Amino acid sequence: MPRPIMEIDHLTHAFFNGTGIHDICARIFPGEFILLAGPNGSGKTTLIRHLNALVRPTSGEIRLHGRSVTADLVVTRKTIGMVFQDADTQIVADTVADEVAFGLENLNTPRVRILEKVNQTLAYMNLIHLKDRNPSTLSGGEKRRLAIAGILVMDPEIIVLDEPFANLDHPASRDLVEIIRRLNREGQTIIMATHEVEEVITYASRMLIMDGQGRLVKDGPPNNLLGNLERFGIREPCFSRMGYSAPPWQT
Amino acid sequence: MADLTLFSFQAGTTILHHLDVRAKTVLVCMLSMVLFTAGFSACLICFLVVYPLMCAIGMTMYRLIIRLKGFILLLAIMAATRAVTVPGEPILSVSGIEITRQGLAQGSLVGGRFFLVMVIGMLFAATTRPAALKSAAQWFLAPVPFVPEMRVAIMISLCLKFFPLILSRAGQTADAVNARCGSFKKNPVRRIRFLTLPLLKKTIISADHLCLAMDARCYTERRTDPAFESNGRERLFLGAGIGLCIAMVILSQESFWMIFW
Amino acid sequence: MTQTDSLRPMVHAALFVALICVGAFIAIPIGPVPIVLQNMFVLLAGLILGPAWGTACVAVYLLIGLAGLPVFAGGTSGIGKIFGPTGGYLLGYLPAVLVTGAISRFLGQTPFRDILAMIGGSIMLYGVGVPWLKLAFSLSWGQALALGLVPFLLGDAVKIAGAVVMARKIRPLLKE
Repeated sequence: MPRPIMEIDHLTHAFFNGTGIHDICARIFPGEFILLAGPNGSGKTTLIRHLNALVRPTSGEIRLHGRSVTADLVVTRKTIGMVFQDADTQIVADTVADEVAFGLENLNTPRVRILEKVNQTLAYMNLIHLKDRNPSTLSGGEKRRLAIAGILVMDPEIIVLDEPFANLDHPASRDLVEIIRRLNREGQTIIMATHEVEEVITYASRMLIMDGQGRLVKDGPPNNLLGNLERFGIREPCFSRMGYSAPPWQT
Repeated sequence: MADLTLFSFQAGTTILHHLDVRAKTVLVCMLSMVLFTAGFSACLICFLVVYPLMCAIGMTMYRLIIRLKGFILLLAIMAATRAVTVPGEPILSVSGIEITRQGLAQGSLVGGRFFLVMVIGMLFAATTRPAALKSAAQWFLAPVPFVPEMRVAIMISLCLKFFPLILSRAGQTADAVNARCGSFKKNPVRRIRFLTLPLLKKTIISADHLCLAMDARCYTERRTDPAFESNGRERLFLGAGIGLCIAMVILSQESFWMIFW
Repeated sequence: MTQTDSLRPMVHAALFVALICVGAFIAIPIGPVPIVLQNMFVLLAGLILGPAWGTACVAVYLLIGLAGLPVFAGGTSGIGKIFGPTGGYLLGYLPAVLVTGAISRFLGQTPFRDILAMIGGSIMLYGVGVPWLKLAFSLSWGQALALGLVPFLLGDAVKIAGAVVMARKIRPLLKE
């Protein structure tokens, strides 16, 4: 078994109103595609924001390569790229190219190197033709791709996506799934928080399920969990509800 | 739509588009300052230089006047008040109000100067990307003490980002209020409240998310310096600009015209 | 959360810069003269951001207008506008936001004190704007006041009332 990239160790975060996440333990290995599922309000976003130390836990710890994520914030945030739920508010700059360059500029990367990496990433994400556009004029799917490009350019080890399918139409969702699959096939570790598992469940290598009280209740390969999802407040994928196994074109 | 209202920038490939934004800024500042003390002939020369550039980006006199009609009206009023208040030799007298030759000359000169400064500013805005403006602001502010130029640059960038966001949210809010017959409320305080309060709440929440997103991408104030586009003709343009300014200053000296008397 | 906390005032100030820009475009029809929400956002910036960030916010606004983005009333911009006949109202935003912020910081935050702070700010605004107008048009003081102050008083009263309500609702959002 390879060494884990990240270890989540008895992580608890209690809010004043009694909600939060409770005693979460998990280990994340290189190359995994983890689906973090659960109903709204189960604490998926809270858990995710602990991963790159945007929020500090009440107790417990997250370790990245054996060191606490809070030890060196720049290294943590470079290693764990985060795509937020609302792409509109994640986008910082006023042109597509500047947006992708933002993270590298923060790392004080030399300009020549930035240009090179930005072009490479834009080409990879199929955004190069939109280079000089204002991000607010892009479509929902393009904005999401831009948000991913903005973190991909920093060479993260783990990409975390929070509800990436929110506000996307079907073609844009399919497109996004393809991109994420490609990244994962190329060795990128992915963590995706979502309450809609249908689109991606067959590609995920592992599934974590949280319940309404912010506890991690299931951890295992998606195939073993299929058929039991409704119990945890997650919509069962169509094929599994009908009693079939995963359709061949999805595997 | 939001784009159209804020960014008067028009994409193009004219020589002005590719000129280094810093050179353009210097030229605009120089010309504007010289114009404030320029005489008639200097203004005329300046206009003759600027007009072909305006035509090059498709800004015709007609479109310019339509665009600036409010400002031109203001200038006309300003010129008119000068015409009647400056003492001198009267050329026309209407019911006790005297229009003087000196007044008319001074008024139209002042109006003309402002108009030219305005046109030059628009020419600059139309050929310069907002992102380049931000970089230029940072570059020019860098030597100024006590001004955190990086912070100013990122604030400009954020403002450019928030602007379309607020406009689209404002549209949504107005629709939501109208859908619930909110527009029938006559009380203006309540109207301001119902229109802007939900808008402000939404944008502040967006701002908080943005803070997190910036943090998640390692935001610091010590960042890579901005890059500038240039076409290698900056020296030529600066030289020509300085020449033009000197010519305008000389032409505006009364003693210069003495030679010909 | 330490870094995010230091980032927030700046992001909020940038948000207010954008609001002031948008304020030039949102017009609410009341009476013969439609009111533009721009100076309301300036005063609100003073109340909510305080004197330092409020001033920074207005300075950045003037800077981007000066640099040529059409963010002044009516979609205009540039040196010509700032030093033009109505430029005093733009430059007056600086002392206005500073005074509003300072009074509010000094007196504390109740609706009545908010109103006082904004009246102080408005006095600064017209204190720069009206003399400037007088010089530009070479008017008498009476004419300058009649043109440059009186027509706006009603609208300003409405805006100040609106701003008080908003300041009360918004402050808790920023504090959390």
